[in-house]
Amino acid sequence: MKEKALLRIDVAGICIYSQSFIDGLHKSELHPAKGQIHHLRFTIAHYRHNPHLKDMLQRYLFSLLLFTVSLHLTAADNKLKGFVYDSSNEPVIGANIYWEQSKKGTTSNREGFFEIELTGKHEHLIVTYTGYIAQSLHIHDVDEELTVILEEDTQLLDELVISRRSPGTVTQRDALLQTQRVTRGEIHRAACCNLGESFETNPSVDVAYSDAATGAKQIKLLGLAGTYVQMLTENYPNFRGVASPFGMDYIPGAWMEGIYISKGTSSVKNGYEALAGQINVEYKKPQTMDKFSLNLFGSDALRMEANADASIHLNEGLTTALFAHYSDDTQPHDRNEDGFLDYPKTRQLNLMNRWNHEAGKYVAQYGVRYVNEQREGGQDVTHGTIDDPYTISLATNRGEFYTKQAYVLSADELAESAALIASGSVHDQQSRYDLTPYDVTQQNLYLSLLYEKDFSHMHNLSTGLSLNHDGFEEHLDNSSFNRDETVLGGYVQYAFNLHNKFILQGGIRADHSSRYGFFVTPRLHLKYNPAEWVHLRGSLGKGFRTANVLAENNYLLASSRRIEIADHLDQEEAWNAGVNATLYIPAGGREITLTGEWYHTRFLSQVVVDVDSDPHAIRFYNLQGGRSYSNSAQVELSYPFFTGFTFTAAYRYTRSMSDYRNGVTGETRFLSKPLLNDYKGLVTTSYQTPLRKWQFDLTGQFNGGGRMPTPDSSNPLWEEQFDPFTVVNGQVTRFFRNFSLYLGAENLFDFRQENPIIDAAHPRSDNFDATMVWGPVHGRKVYAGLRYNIPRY
Amino acid sequence: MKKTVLLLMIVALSTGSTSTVYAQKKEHKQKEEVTALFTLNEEICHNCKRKIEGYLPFEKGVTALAYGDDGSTVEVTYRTDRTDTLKLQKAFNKIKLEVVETRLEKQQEEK
Repeated sequence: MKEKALLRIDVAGICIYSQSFIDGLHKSELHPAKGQIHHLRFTIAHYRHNPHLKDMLQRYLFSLLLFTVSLHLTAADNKLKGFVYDSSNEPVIGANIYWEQSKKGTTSNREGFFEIELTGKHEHLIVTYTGYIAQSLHIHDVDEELTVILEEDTQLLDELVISRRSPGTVTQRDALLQTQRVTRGEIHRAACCNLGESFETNPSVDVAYSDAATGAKQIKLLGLAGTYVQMLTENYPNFRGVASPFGMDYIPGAWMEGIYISKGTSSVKNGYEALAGQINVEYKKPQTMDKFSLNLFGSDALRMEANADASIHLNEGLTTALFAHYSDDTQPHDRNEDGFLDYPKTRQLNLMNRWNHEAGKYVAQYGVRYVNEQREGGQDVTHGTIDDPYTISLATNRGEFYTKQAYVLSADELAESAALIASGSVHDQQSRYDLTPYDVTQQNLYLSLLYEKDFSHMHNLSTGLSLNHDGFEEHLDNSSFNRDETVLGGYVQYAFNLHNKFILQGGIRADHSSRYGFFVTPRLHLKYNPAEWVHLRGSLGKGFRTANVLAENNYLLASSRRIEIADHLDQEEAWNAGVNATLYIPAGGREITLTGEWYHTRFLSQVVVDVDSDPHAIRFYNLQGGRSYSNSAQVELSYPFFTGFTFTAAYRYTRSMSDYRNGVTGETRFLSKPLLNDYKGLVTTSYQTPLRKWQFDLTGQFNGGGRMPTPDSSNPLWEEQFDPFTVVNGQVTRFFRNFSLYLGAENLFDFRQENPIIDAAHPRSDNFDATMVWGPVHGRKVYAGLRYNIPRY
Repeated sequence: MKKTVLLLMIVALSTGSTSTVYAQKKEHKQKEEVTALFTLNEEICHNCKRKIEGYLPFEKGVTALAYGDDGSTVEVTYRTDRTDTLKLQKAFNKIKLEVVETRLEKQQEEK
């Protein structure tokens, strides 16, 4: 194949040379077919010294002239010719070659060769092939034979690896950081009313109720609490501080385009906070989303939910989308008849509007959003039999805005761009835990200026500045905890990429906090592919975080425990290291994906949340040189056994330990973190019929046991350990042309933590505690829904 | 109320399954099935696949759908008594995809 291509270039070379020869016989430096040119040079020299060969050379030149003319005639037959190769110089068969405006096109043959008729217009020639970056070429000389080299589009390949049936959760093959992409298809595999419920089929992320009264949800990654996981929406930090306990409920499932989960410390671009990992939610984009879609959901617990979104393309460069969500879950449920609602009655209104503006190299996005939520938990007062009931109420109003302004300085092979991200939010929560009022307002402003440049295919540099401001007005009972923190910082990140086989990315950022002074965050990521099917990754980095103990843990007020907060809490600081190997093993015409990983997080300073030293208190204090670490190891295997079928099995072992210090006795105990499963197993399968008219999903979560907070030694009211338990979810979906219906069940076998509330009969006694939750607080839930859409074709 | 909701859910889904059973019964009278190859003027991108898979399977007579190795061909198997290549080509046009070449697999000529 290569020989043929070379021959053509040789011939072209001769033609150029021979024309020059005819013009003046002296332009011997012309390119490019050196072998042939040398041959011709020899012939010319020989001619000068041997006039007898004159006839022969004349014939030779005449034939060359004829050939040249014939080539020009070929060019003059209104066709452009060329070859398409990949980066390893292999011909690309079946590449699409077409004129941008007139759309007239052709495909390349076995040799990668193509001929395309000229249109007579000035237009770009587009060359595309599945899995490769499309080329848009300006043709200067239609007579010249083209050689087009297509580069692999690694990002696209991730999506297209997937031939017939795409797996819902895709391990990002070429991402430097270990990243999983949860697609919209995956999000639709479960009831998925919101982000918190989108991880039911994911082995890496656990989401569980934090307590049995407020409905707050705690996310866990690598055995660490959700506060150590940086939440991003559209790649900027969001839902920090007071929004963290309920933020998972503020993102409706129907709004999401995809979720990206990366483990370990991430890039320094997004700040210093991601200690255990990062979760980025991408909303549907106005440019590509359907014209209109509607999602209606109802469950046997009479939870009702409606989501609608619509997009409008005002002109080629300006698009907008409106999103609306309303949910009503206000029916009281008390299955264990302890007098307390199993989960709170909730009502939420959520609205978002986003805009996208593109004008040449300038791209801008704008968005605004409003959330209103009411939660009421505690004793069930529906039947009015309780005098002076213990109730919990939370009223939340949250407003957000964001904008992203990007200017692409160069979109050539070597990209260069600058961007500004600005976001802000005001989050107000008015709450009452029985007789204790807790009111908090958090104001946040975030600015980030980024610049990025490819110096060559090997070297990339990015740098930027950021500013983050948090203001808290916080009142617990009669005490105020008002505070501000402004952090100004800058970063530099360098990436070295050796033919996508070896990638090194090192970043460092320096920040100054108005509360904690200067601190430096170094991070290093490596990726090495010894073979195409073996991807090895490693990461090492530091992370910092400011603990907002009440705002982030206010659900702990749903107990009679005393709250004790030490003075001068430190900034949290930890190292995280991780290694990961992903193997893509061909088997039976398909591919086994096998992933093994290990992550270790070690805290240098931490705000300890201690519910162990005193069964009647919650204490927040500094680790002060004590030990605190977390180890997490996971193996995951995926294999599509047959067409339309996906299968994933995973097992994770987690060990998270910390020193707990008794302030009274001075005794320190080194214990595993309470209410954390020792392990988690997950098996998830999905089958789609050939024409994707039906889909069947089944997921089993096998949760390990763990340690309960230390009970009162004189009056133990709960066990020291909790047992392993299994939760199974299933769903059937029937697709129609513009709508689908789904019916499913969460927790099919109806497993429940029977009595999650301690001393529920006496909520104002010293023993009352609604925070001892380790398992599902509600049993089986049967649900059904409808998704309708008007596609944008 | 709970039971009513459950009942409604089951009825809604069973409507879908009943129609499938009915369709399967009708397949006994099935006529000839052929596969036509539709080459588009562009590479079948991720979004194109989404459009194709959301629309074509619900076109009357379509029984299978696959993609050719060249990256721009869609292989549609259909019952000749229920649809034809012209109707299918119109279906592609409806989702704003342009067919530049249509041919039948195994040189079968459509009746």
